Amino acid sequence: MKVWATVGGFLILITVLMLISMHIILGATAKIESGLSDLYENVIENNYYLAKSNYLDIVKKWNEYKKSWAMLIEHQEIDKIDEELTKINEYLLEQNRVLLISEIGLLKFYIRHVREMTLLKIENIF
Amino acid sequence: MVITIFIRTLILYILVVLVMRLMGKRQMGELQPFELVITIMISELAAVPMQNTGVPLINGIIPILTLLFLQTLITFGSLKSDFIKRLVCGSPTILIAKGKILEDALRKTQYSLNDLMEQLRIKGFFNIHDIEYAILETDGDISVIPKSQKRYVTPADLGIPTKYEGIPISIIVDGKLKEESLKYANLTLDQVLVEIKKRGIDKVQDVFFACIDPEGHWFVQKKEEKNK
Repeated sequence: MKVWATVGGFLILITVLMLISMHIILGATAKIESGLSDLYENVIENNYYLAKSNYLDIVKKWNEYKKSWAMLIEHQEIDKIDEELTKINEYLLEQNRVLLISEIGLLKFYIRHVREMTLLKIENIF
Repeated sequence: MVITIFIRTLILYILVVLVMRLMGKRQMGELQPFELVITIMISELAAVPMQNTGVPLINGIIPILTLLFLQTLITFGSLKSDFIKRLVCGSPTILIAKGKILEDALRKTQYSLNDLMEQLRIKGFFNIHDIEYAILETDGDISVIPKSQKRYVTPADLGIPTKYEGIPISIIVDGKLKEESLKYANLTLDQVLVEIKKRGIDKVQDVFFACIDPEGHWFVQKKEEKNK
C-alpha cells in the first residue's frame, strides 16, 4: 500500500511539474514570438518608432519570464536570448534594417528551440 | 558565484543523503548490480548541477528522485516476485559442489580459478580439499560450506549446554544517558547512578561509556579529564 502510494505520489508530482513547466514556457514563448512578429513587421515597414516600442514590450515581458525560465531550462539558452535582445537594441538605434531582420529571425529561432525542447516528443526523449 | 555553488552543494548533499537513506540500509553495504548502477548515477547526477551554475537545479533533482522511485519499485518488485528478483539481481551460482569445482559455472560467471582461490583464502579456507560447497552470491560475495569434518567445532558438537546470550546495551555514551536503552534494559536512572558511584563517578556527564550485558554485568569507563 505504502509503495503504491509512493508510486502514485511520484507520478503525480512529475505530471504536475511537467504541466507547470510547459504552461510557463509555452505561454511565454507564444507571447515573445507574437511580439517579435510585430517587431519584424515594423522593421520591414521602416517604422522604427513602433519597432522600438515593440522591443521595449518584449524586453519587459522577457525580464518577467526569465526568472522562472532559469529554474527550468539551461542558463545558456537564457544568455543567448539576452545576447540577441542586446544586439537588436543596438541595431534599432542604428536603424540597420538588414541586421535587424537577421537578428529577429535568430531570436525567433532560439525562442522556438526552447519551446520545442520543452514539449514531450519522441525526438526529445531519444 | 561562490555562495551560489555553496548553497547548491548544500541542497544536493542533503537530497543525496536523504535519497540514500530512503533507499535503505542495504545500499550502504553490499550492493546488488542494479543498486551499484543507481548509486553511481546518483553521484554523477548530483555532481553536475553542483558545480555548474548554468544547469537548473531541477535538472539534477528530478533524475535523482526518478532513480529513487525506480529503486523503490524494483526493490518492492523483487521482494514480491522471484522472477523480478532473478531478472534484476540474478541468482546465486554454485562454483564448488560436493568438493568438485564446476568449470562450466566458472566460465559462465567469468570467475577465474585464481579469483576463486583468493576468495576462499579470504574466507579462511586455504585447502580446496576442505570445501564441500562454494556459492557465488548475487552481490559477488562467496559463501563457503566446508566439509563436515573440517568445519569449526560448536558447543552442540561437544554436547556442552550454553546459556542464553543477548547483546550488551549501551546506557551512557560520551556523557549522554540513552533514555531508550534505559527503558529497554528495564533500568531506572537511580540504578545507573548507583552503578557509576560504585566506580567513583558522581555524574552521568563524567562517564565516557557505560553498558550492561544480559547477565547484569556493568562496564563503566570514566571520561578523561581533558575531554570533560
